[in-house]
Amino acid sequence: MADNVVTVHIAGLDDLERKLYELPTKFAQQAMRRAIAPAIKIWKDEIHSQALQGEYETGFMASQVATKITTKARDEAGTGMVGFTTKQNPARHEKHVPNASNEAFWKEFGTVHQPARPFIRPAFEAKAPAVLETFTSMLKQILNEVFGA
Amino acid sequence: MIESGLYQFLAADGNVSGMVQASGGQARIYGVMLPKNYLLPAIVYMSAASRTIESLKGPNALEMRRFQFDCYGQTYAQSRLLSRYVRNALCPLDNNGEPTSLRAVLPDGSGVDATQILIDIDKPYQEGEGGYIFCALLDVEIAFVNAN
Repeated sequence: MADNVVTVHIAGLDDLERKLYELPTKFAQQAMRRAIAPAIKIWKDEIHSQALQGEYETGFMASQVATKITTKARDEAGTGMVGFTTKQNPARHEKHVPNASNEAFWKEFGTVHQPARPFIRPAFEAKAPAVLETFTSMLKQILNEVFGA
Repeated sequence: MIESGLYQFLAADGNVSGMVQASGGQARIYGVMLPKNYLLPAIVYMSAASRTIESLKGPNALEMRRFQFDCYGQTYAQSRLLSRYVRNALCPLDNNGEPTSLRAVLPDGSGVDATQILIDIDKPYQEGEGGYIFCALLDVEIAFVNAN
């Protein structure tokens, strides 16, 4: 995925954090993954639908929206990333074919020849509350399954 | 309208206008994209995203909007310096040299309540007028009340 990353740090969930600490490492990591996955899928779907907007869109770039989740070995922290792959469009046969990540960058931020048509930042702003809500409710649900409500 | 307010505000800033002031008095600060036959250094600004704030009566007068400022220069150093000046104008330094959030009424009457730098990166160099050109990008979130 591209290197340009916007980070959202979620804090203030002390109770959930304490419960995560009490879990065995592997289970805590699994719980984080299960909570992060549906949350960042909201961003992924929104970016995908926004990426399809445009006069000359073939759908290739939109198909290359990808997510990645990482958790630390013994930590309550997890990271979910939404971005674009570096795959090149196989339908194009020029000498230098830009990859999906490059195309997304140019569309988002523009170039000297092409005005920016932001689609990642509006998706990020529009869905941030829903992502946070999904993440916290999923994590609560998972921890309640373990510890009881 | 905050767009014209931002133009006038940046054009009135000594450091920024020192770099982008054209001979006719108009500053090389453009909306959305560079014009044809542009001269550098120049600034291109646009609205990139917004967040609406709802109050009990309906949409709140306070708006949160992300503005993208592309600071173009003939050299990398020039683009970075221009970006620095824009940054300092939008997040002015206090007496200790620490950046602060802007709180001011812009020349058009829009009231800025807060500013925050979200992204400060370099775009890859591109082919442009007179060879390769460089661009430093600033993404600034501005909380403001638009002038009617």
